[in-house]
Amino acid sequence: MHGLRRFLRRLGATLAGAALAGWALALTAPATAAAAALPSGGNLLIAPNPYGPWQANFNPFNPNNMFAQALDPVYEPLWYFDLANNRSYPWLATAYRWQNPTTLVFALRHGVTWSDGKPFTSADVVFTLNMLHRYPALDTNGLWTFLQSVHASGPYGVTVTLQKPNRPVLWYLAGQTPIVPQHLWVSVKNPVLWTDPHPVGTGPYLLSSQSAESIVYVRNPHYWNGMPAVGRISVPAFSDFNAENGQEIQGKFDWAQAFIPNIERLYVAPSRGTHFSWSPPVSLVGLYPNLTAYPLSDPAFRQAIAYAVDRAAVSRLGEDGQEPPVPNMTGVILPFEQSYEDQSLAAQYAYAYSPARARATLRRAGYHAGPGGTLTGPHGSVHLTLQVIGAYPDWVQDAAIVAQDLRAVGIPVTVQDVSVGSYQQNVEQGHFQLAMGGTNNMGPSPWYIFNSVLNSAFTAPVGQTAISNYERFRSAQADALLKDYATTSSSAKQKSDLYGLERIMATQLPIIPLVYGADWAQYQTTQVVGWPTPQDAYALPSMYNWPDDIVILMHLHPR
Amino acid sequence: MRFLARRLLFYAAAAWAAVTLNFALPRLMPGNPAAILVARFRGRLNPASERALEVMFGLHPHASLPAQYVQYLGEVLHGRLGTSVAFFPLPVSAVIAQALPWTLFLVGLATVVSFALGTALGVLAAWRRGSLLDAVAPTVSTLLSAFPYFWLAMVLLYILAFRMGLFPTMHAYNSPPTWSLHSLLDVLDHAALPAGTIVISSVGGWLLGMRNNLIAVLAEDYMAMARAKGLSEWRTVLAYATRNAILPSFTSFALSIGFVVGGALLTEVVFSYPGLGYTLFQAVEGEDYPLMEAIFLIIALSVLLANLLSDMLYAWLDPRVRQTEG
Repeated sequence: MHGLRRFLRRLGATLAGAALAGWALALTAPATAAAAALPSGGNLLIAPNPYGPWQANFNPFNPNNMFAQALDPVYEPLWYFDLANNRSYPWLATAYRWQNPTTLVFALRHGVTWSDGKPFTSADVVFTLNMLHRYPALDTNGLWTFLQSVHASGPYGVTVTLQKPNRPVLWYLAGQTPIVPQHLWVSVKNPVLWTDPHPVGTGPYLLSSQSAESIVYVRNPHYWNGMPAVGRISVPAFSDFNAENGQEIQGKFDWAQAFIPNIERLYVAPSRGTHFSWSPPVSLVGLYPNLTAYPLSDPAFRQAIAYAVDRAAVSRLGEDGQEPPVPNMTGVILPFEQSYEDQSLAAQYAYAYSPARARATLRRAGYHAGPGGTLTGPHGSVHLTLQVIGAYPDWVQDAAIVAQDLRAVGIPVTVQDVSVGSYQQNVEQGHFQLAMGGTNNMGPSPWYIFNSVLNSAFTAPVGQTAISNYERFRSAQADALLKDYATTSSSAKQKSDLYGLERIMATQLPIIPLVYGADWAQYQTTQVVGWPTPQDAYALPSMYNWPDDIVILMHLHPR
Repeated sequence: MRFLARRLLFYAAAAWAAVTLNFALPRLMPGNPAAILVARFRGRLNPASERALEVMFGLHPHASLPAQYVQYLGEVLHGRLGTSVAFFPLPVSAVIAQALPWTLFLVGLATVVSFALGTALGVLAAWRRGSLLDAVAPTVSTLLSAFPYFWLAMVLLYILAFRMGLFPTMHAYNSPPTWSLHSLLDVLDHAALPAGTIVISSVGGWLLGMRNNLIAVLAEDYMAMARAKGLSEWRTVLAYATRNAILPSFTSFALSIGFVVGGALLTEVVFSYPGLGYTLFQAVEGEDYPLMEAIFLIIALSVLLANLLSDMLYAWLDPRVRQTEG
């Protein structure tokens, strides 16, 4: 008995001693290693979305590539569209010209080199575009539904021929297509399956190392626009936003894109002027009504819904006040697209929150409340289901508020939480009545969101797949306006087309926007300065916008 | 020998059933991986890209279901597990190969430590019935097991790592591991808190099981006989009583070892630790059938293998089992 006790005591002491010693050693070792590795020029530590451990995939045309999951400082487009300011700047191309409505000519920049030293020429641009033609699976922007052919005119000229006149294709072609080097990609057997493990690009940073936990970029000393001031970018991997947000609040990250509830009190205020949060509106979030289903097919009913929902409450309670309510139903993203907004429409169709007006609209349209909260209309009783993705807590909260507001004016609503897969399938197939969702991010003008939401080419009958026009909106007038905008070269005509589309959005309410979708971004100025601010909005602030992230990186410098 | 042959046959049949169910179940789920990927990027992907993605993922197989099944069996036998959809275009084996070693290390280590610690404490608690240890240990450990694991892990992470800075707050390593001592210590340092939380929340089960088994065995007649014959207390408890009492625990332990490859999803989420649990979660979220099937297959086969080994071990340890089966 004594022997056992003594033995256990000694064993315990030895184990504890060994553990402590080992742990103490481990505590000291990694810190020194990290300190020794820091080069001059500073280090930018970035917190991306929690997508889990990194997988080695740097092919910019794959949906899962590391650039899409964090930022892309390696590949560049031909042109930079400054969405915040309605301007655009030359990038890899120095000029472009519409020779005629179906021919677009680019003049490329001289003196640009790939990160392996070879010169950038028109051969690379032509190769990239033709590769998208040969492998449609890479053509995620659907360029070749509009392009006819592409060829080089000299080493610094590219001529693009379209099938039909189309102005908006410029944004996708010049602003959203990464140019890859022909000399590397030409020998790839199947670029669809290729992970591009050592990316060669024209951009300001080079891939330095990649592991499951961290991706590191170092600056490109031969970058055509001058060497970047920040020497190194680290992008760690995360699986959970809680731990990530915890670190962010402690000030561990220079650049982040989190949704932190109560961000003013938790992140901004305690920092004494070094933490900033700027998440401007870039998309619409709201209700998709299935226009083929009664009573959502009735515009008066949809108007009643618009009056019934307290958008300010949705913004305040569902989105923690970080996504402002839409002030009117024109569908224009404010403040960035302010110059495209029809002011008279905006004033007239504000749909200010008014349950009384909602009830009056319902009554006038022939809907009468019955006993026990029921509603009966011209074609029978009304009971709506509202589908929402259960995995997005802010949208779930928004849906709950919407349902509450609709019930308050007498419209019976049931909220259904569904999985991402089921939701996506249901909205695409049209198996829903009301769905809580969002549009794409904005483009250089409101046309891009209008096109995805209103164009009858992107919808389909119930039971078939609709690409983006889930509500099944069909209007010859809308199609004509969209087409006219796309084919005309007169900006006055384009503006009047946009006003016409805004009128359709506001009067017919094909979708019912509630709040703006935010471009989440936080940053701190303790190590690195030069960030975009609401006063100096030279780029969209989130790291997920490309090539805005490159523009920001070139503005940054160590403090 | 007949015993062995019969067990092997049984496990082969179980493996076939697992493989077949593994093929059938994902195909019963609704949804379309390409659509999910578009939805996942909430607005940043062009709507037209979904069509391109469907082409990429080969989502419209032309073969009939039985033909797909036969093809699937062939590929499994050859170890060709396909191309992942959620991590396109990486092959499934590459995705698993990145995560599996960490899972085996972390969860394997935690399971073994938890079993060893729980069993040892259980033996002590049963041996010294009525002592302070016996009063405190089962209650405290059961209480810790009753806490939701997620909550326990986050609280310990917050207090020990964030506030007190005693442990790293996330990840498996600071720099990619090599075989140097410094790197091994770094890896152990990062694994300490995740493994620790798993041990804390699971030790209660082993402890109680062992304690109860041992109490029952200690009351047996042959224990009194051993003491009467003059064997030391230590020897009777460890060499005779524990050896008999531990047999049921071994079965549970074998099953736990089998499930190690399933990973510990909550641990991996809270600590951003790479592992198969989170990979499986991402596969399910992204309706990645090839990856899901591969991971389920690995789990099923490893549980079966662990079961087979535990059967063998049990038969070796307890001669009565060999006699009844043979």
